[in-house]
Amino acid sequence: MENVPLQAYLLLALALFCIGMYGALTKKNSVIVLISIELMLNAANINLVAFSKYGVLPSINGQIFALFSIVIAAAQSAVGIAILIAAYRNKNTVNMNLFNKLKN
Amino acid sequence: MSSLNWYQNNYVIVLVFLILGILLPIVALFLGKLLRPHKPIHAKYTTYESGNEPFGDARVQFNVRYYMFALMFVIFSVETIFLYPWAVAYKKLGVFALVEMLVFVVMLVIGLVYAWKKKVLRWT
Amino acid sequence: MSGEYIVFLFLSLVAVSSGTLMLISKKVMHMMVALIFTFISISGIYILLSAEFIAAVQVMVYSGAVAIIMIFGIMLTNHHDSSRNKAPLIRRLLVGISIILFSISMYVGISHLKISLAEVALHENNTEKIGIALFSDYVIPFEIASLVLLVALVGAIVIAKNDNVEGGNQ
Repeated sequence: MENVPLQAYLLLALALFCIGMYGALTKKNSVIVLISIELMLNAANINLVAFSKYGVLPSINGQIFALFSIVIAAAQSAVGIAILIAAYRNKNTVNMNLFNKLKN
Repeated sequence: MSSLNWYQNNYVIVLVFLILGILLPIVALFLGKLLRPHKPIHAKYTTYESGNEPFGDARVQFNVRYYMFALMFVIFSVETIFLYPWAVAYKKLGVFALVEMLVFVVMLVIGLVYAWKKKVLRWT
Repeated sequence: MSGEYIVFLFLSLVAVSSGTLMLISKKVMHMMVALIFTFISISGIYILLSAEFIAAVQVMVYSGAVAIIMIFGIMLTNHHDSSRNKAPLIRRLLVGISIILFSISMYVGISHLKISLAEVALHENNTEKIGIALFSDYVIPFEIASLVLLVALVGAIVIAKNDNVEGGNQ
């Protein structure tokens, strides 16, 4: 009975990270950008949990890091959506390219 | 059989359940599409509003109050995930962990009291 | 080909394909459904990695709470916003090329990785192990997490609540 190697998990995390990064850099709707950032955080969590099982010093610590990362990501998305609602109230749009008041 | 195999085989039934749960509505909707007659008229595509004449769009703008409740839900569900490992390992941890958890809960109760004072919990 | 391989391939196929579906779909709600599928298959990956508790947390927090809050964000803002949701072609091209370069360089790094396997039994009493580690080594991060949650709750209420409009109604 052979285990799935570490590299397979890392490749999956790489694919998800690239998908999230593409979405975060090209989409215009800010909610979609936030969602893509969540996807990137998930890819990082997969790496943490994978190294906690197959790493050099396998221990429970990686899972605890992933737990904290999930918690912070939830708080971050809550605040992010709140900022978005405030910005939408002021500018009546969620288009990323129109949030440029600091520019001039 | 090693304990890892035993652990993984436990989750096969979860996987089967998940696949069945996803397949059931897909198959039901697809069979319904095959069996039902297809005669579209304009009145069938209007939104059903209990017999009244529909007006506006089905996707109206939500009130910000809904977001407030979603926010409280997120924060307190995150609190819950810290309660589980504490409750499972309670007998091995002792009083110190109890104090820690009390500090944790009091922190979030402060947030709840703040939300209450700001009248977030009131609907009107 | 063991069963673990088959399940891993299935789950990663679901995760990557629904992530791609999230990128290419036009409607925002379809994106959310695809995202929830990605989150649930990632929780399956966690179960394969003998992290039972993290898998449950993933289902609770990501495909429950975060997905709900994202849907509320869409419902509160995406009011008749049917403008095209795409950046200019030159930018998409540049981003695509740089991401492909990034993934190739990471792939080279991953394929040269050699770590000898050590046997651990993380799957036995997983939640209890996490609890013991959390309340012995990670007490300070745990308390700081509670502080962060408090600040997030208060800050989000302050930012999102519109006092000016509602002051007249009460």
